[in-house]
Formats: sequence, C-alpha cells, structure tokens
Amino acid sequence: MELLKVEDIHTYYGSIHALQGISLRVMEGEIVTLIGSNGAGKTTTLNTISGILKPRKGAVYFQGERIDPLRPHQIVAKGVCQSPEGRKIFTRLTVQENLEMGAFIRTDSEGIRQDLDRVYQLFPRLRERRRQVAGTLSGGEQQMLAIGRALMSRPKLLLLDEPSMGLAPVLVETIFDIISDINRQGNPILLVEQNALMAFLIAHRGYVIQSGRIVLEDSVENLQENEMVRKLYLGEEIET
Amino acid sequence: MESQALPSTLRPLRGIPPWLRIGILLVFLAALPPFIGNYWTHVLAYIGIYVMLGIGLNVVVGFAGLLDLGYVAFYAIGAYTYALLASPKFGIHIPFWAMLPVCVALAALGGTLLGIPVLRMRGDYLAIVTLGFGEIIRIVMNNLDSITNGPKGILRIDPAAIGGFKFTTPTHYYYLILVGCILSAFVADRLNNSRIGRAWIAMREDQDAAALMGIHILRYKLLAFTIGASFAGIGGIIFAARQGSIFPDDFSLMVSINVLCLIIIGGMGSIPGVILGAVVLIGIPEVLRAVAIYRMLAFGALLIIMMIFRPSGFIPSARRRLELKEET
Repeated sequence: MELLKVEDIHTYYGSIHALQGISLRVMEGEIVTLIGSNGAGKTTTLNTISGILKPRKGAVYFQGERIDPLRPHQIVAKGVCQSPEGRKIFTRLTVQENLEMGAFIRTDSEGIRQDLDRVYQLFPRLRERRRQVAGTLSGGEQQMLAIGRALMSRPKLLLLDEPSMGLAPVLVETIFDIISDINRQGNPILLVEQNALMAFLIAHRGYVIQSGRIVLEDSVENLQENEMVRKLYLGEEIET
Repeated sequence: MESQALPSTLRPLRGIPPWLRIGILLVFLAALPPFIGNYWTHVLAYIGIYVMLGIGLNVVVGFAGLLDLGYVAFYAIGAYTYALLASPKFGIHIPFWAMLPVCVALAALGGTLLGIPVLRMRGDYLAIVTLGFGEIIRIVMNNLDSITNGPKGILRIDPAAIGGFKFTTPTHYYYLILVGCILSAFVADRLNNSRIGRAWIAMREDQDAAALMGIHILRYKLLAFTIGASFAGIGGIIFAARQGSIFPDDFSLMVSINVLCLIIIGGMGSIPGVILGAVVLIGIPEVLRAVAIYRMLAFGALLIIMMIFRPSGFIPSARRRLELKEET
C-alpha cells in the first residue's frame, strides 16, 4: 500500500529554484533511500515533506491525504516524523528529556513509557546515559538520540536525514544495522544519504537526485548495477 | 521551585527542604512591616511590584527565550485601564476587585496583539519591534489628552479595596503586593513545569527541532507573550491603586530595561533569581541614597562588577547555568 506520495514538487528559497519537480513514493514496510551529492536537494525534499518548507507547485500525500498545506506540527500529528540533518538534538536537555520531547504530541503516558523502553532497547548506550546532558554525547550517540527522539512520536513514516554524517565508519555500520532493525519492526523509512554504499545495504528501493531533479529510480539491486551510480556515488573506476 | 541544584551562594540552605525554606521566607516577610517602619515598607512594596513584572517578563525572556524590550507597555495598559475606570476622570468607579480580571485580560490581549506581528521574527529583530511597541504605548498615553490627560496624568485614582476592606496604608499595600508576588511565583513555577513549559524549553533550545517534534511554534510563542503580559497587568493595576496617580513617564523605556536587568542579574529563567534580582536592582539604589550624587555611579559600577564575576546571575536556573557555561 502506498504510504507517501510526493508529486512533482517545486520548492524555492527566495528566487532559487531548489526542487524542480520531485516525485517519489514510499510503500508500507519499505526503506526507500534518496541519494545525491551536497546541495542536490535531499534535505530540501525532506523539509518540504515535513512542512518546514512549502512547495510552490506540486503536492504531498500521506495515506492518501494531502499534507503539503499543513503546518509541521500537524504533519507530525499525522504520523510523519523527521530526524533532522545535523541531528539538532536539544543539547542542554538530558538524553531522557530529549526523548520525552519527541513524544510531545502524545498524551498516552503508558504508551510513551513503552516506546521509551523500545528506544532504550534499540540503543542501550542511550539508557546508560539517560541522565546525561545531550550536548556531552559523542557524535554517534547524538545520532542515536536524534533517531530515538523521532521514534518517540510513534511515527507511521520515519524520515532520516543523513544519519551517517560525520560518523566513523564503524559507527555508521552500527547505526545502519539499527535502522534496518527499526524497519523490520514495522516502520517504513525514507532515508536520505550521501553515503550510497551504506544506504544500498539496507534499502529496498532508491531514488537519485541531481540539482533538484530525480534522475533515476529503481530497486537497489538495479541501482547498484547502474554505471552512472557506480561511478558517481559508489566511487568505482569504470573500465571503458 | 528549582531547588534540586542550589548555586554556591545558597549552599548552606541545602539541608532544608524547599517548602520549609519558602515557608520561613514568607513568615519572615509577613512579620516584617512593624519592624521596618513606613518608608522601608513602602520600598519593599515597590520592589514587590518589580518582582511581579520580573516574573512575568521572565516567562517571555527566560522560559520562552523571546527578547522583549517593550514589556512596560502591558504594565501601562494595566495601570491606565484601572485609572480610567476607577477615578473622577470619567466619574466611573468600578471596584478594584472587579477591575483586576479586566486589567489582566486587557494586558494579555495587548500581549497577543504584539505577538501576532512578531511571530516570525527572531532575536534582534524581535527586540527592536517590541521596543517600538513599548514606546508607542507610552507616547499614545502622552498624546491622547482627551482620554488620558496627557502628561498631566490621571489623579485621585481609587485606592484598592476588596470586599469592604480599603487599602490605605503602606502596610496594607505591602501585604497586597506580597500576595500578588506569591501567586505570580506559584503560577510561573507551575507553568515552567507544565507541558507548555516544556514546549517553551524546546523552542528556546532549537526552534526548528521543536517544530519537528510536533510543537506548534506560533501558538506557544503567542502564549508566552500573552501569559507574560498578564502578569504586568496585575502589576499595573496595583501600581495605579497604590500611587493614586499615574503619568506617562511612569512607563518609560527605563522600566522595561530595569525589569530585563533584574532578570539577568538574578538569573534568567529562575524564579528565586528574579526575586533576588528585584531586591538588588530596585533596593540598592534606595540604600545608596546615603551617598547621594554618587548613587547612580556606584550602582552602575556594581552592575558591571556583578556581570563580570557572576555572568549567569545570583541564582541561575540549573538549565541556564549550562547554557552560559557553554558560551564562555
């Protein structure tokens, strides 16, 4: 079943035409990755879905309902939650306070407690440091916290913006394993990445974005075979 | 109140539970007037009005992180509303207790009205627009002769009265203001620990991340302005009733600056800090009357020394202390 449908969105920063007609969809149960280089429009796409930016043209549908006219907090309430680029955790709050902030829209304290438990199970490191001020965490732990915080709203669709950014390769692997676990527990995920190699390991389908346009869309298996993808995003030397 | 982490100045009090600490302080304050005479009772009551203003502005600046330099406007709205409807000016004499909710509501409305146009502004821009708003209200009071008497002010304002009891002596007002301070502190403390308070913390920390948590930024900003302003409404009506006469100059920019200063000196975001800040900032100039012409000089020097040696204020809130540590 189709969960998210982004239809030909055009988003501007002032007069800069950042997204020039992006269309993509995420089905129930999937991990979909959106790969592209710096400045291609990956974060802009996510922020348009989250309602932080408004598309000038086009539409975003979630579970068949149009969400692009809604404000960010309404979109969170619909079940779309983003773990933002650069993590944006609340650095002066403790780990647990950060997670509780993630559940801001919820009032079911029993369910919140269960999800807190779930997040601590996914990320045992966060449990160890739950009383620690978040700004003192390492980069990897902060990324875990950002993902955990997004999970606390019990989203139907999780948007992850470059979870590998600035992390040591070992940590990236750990984080991606957990993202895969989260997906297996039933959460569909839209994963924005520069690190295509890692993204392809866990995703089912992928889109390639260049200068605000989707240039390629396919299953991960096929993308990995694609010459342009191998050259531009997997860094392989192609013999001609 | 935020007692879990006492700063070094209050460390000797650590063994005493917070409720007892507050209780002792209140008993002490309630017993004070007969021992200190009319003049100091008067000074303390004046400090008390600033405590209320400080607690209110602290909601906006300390809790929600919105720099508001026009806070005096809401104080003026509270004071003028009472003055116009409880004085010989129009021959209307609505009782004090009935005017109390009216003044609070109008000040809150003023907060909302200021809030709407500045919702999308941050930082410096917000400060400038609010500064302008504060001045506009004062200038309107100054120029609207037919209603406010302009610079001649409004005289013979009815004293406060609740039921059959009329507030006439400085001691009466001292207790009225003390109760006002207690209520303000209580409400602000409850707010800080509520869902609204948490939304404000998130907003202050990172507005974009807060929006991604599902927090309705515009609503909580507006709420901060509205709630913060309503405290000034109470301060305003009590001020007008106590003075018996008010003039536009009572509501100059200096009031906004003073209130902001006392919050910074006391410790932003901390209610005990605001109280101590008011005592120091408003009280010390009175004490310094002894040195007459050097009074403001000495006072200014004290402020500078204070900011150098205790930049986070006398009693910073636990969280704010962290914020400052990070910056220095």
